Amino acid sequence: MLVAQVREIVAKKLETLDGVVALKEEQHRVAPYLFTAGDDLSTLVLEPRYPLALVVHEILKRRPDVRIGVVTRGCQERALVELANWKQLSLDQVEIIGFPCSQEQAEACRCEMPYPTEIVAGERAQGVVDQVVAEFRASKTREERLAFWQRQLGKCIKCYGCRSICPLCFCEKCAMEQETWVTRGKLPLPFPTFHLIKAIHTAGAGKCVGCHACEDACPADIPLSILYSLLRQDLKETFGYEAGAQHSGNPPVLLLKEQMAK
Amino acid sequence: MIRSSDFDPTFVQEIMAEPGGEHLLTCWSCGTCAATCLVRRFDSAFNPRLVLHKAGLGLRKEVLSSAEIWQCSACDACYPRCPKQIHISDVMKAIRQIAIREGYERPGVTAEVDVASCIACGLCAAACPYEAISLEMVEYEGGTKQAAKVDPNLCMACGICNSVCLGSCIGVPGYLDEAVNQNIGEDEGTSPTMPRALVITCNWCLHAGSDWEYAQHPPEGVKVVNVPCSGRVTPAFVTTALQAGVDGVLIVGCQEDQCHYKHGNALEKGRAAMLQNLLELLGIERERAQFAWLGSLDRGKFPELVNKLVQDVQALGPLSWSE
Repeated sequence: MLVAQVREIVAKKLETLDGVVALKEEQHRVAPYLFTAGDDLSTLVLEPRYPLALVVHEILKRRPDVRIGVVTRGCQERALVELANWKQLSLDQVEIIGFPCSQEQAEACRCEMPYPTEIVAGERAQGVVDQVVAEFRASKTREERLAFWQRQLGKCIKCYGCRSICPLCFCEKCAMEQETWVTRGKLPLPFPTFHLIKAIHTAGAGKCVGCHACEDACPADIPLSILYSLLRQDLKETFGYEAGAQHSGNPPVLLLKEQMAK
Repeated sequence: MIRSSDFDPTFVQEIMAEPGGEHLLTCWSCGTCAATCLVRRFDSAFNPRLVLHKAGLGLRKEVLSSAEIWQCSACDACYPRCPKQIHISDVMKAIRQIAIREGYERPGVTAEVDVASCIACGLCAAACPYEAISLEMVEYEGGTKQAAKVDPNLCMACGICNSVCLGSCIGVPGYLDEAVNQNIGEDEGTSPTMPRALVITCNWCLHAGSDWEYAQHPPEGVKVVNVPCSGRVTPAFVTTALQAGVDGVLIVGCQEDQCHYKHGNALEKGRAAMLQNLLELLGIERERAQFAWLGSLDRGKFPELVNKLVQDVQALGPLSWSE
């Protein structure tokens, strides 16, 4: 079984690492946990999906002196790489203990690479080509799209769940909280500036790794990932940039500068 | 009053020894540079002819301590018109080099960092056309912290850093988010039934005087807002304008390869395309967020662009997101 294999490997890794971030099940509840040597690893689980890069980043921000492992899926490995591209953590402090997603999960996430670069156990699922934007465009006229999003985004209660769960939302001062941009105390929002800022600052800036954590967190079930898929594709076509695909240290704005210099 | 005792011939020699300063004394003070200078639109006291003349007389202290040597923004509108083919912005640069060596500092506004919110991601440093920003350990709350630091002698106050910073932790006073947004949101008192259009232009793309005049007195229902560079425009400016009841926005920057701040226009072109694609996916017509370039030869073209925007907006009708 996949989880048993992972537990075994984590036990071995804990001999040299300061800790391993993974999910822990306790009294039928699952939460992120920092396992250290001697902990009961039978509580370590792999499901459900959770953006563990967020937890790793929080730990490393406070402890620049440790080296930890993380039991991770492909998307969270890419999130960590992208955090390093944005100079928010050092990959030297992280060891990836990678496992693949199931085929069902890959389909649900429309994930092109449902596994980390190296996996310690299990079988790689087939990558899925994300066609949601094309399908969305083909199935709806402009008026229908407008009505769709007016309804979907009209459900937003501005809980900031999508922002708070995003492993790549690392700003101290969030533009989504600035009254210059976002009207306070008004629901539904008079215009989706709130959501456009989220989309542009994550996917548009080249940070969104498509982990779908925002959609999972949204209490209103808004299909946010359609917007992010669009921008992710745009960046791929324009700059060949895929968030977290490689540790280049070159977010798209830097690539633009390189292009200009040519 | 200018006294002959203030003349310092070594100053003249020094300028001419600097790269770019060689042609200082070829100037015959005709004033064509001043007549074509784009900076004078924003400050009529600025006069490149006078700077060159004073420098040629060797008025070291007066020239080096003047604000004018820093005001030239190197748009080079004067260069092709100078009958003596003096590259005036290069001469200005040569003088500035001497000023920097002698410890003078750029007066006026340059980008400032909000150290408390800076997370040292380095995006501003990467996007700065002048390499004026670096990541350094700076003093903060009794300790130190890594943050962006601006070299005021290199900063040209374009505001590109502000537009790439996701948290707006850096920016040029006068062109911070709130200031620009206030300009955008100000109601001109047009009737609520009339379509409203917003034009955001950079300071340097309107080469013809007539285009500049048109921008000062646009047709009814059209508002024109100036920013230093089109690269200063963040998509949020456009979306807040659309929220405020504007029916269409046009951003105008300099022609490709002619950006006054090297690559601000290319940056903006990409961002505008991104926003257009997003709006289109949301069911909002992409014509509501337009982007155009104006080259130095596109004289008189600005009113055409504005007219097209107005026609598009009239054809589209009002934008109603929330009924």
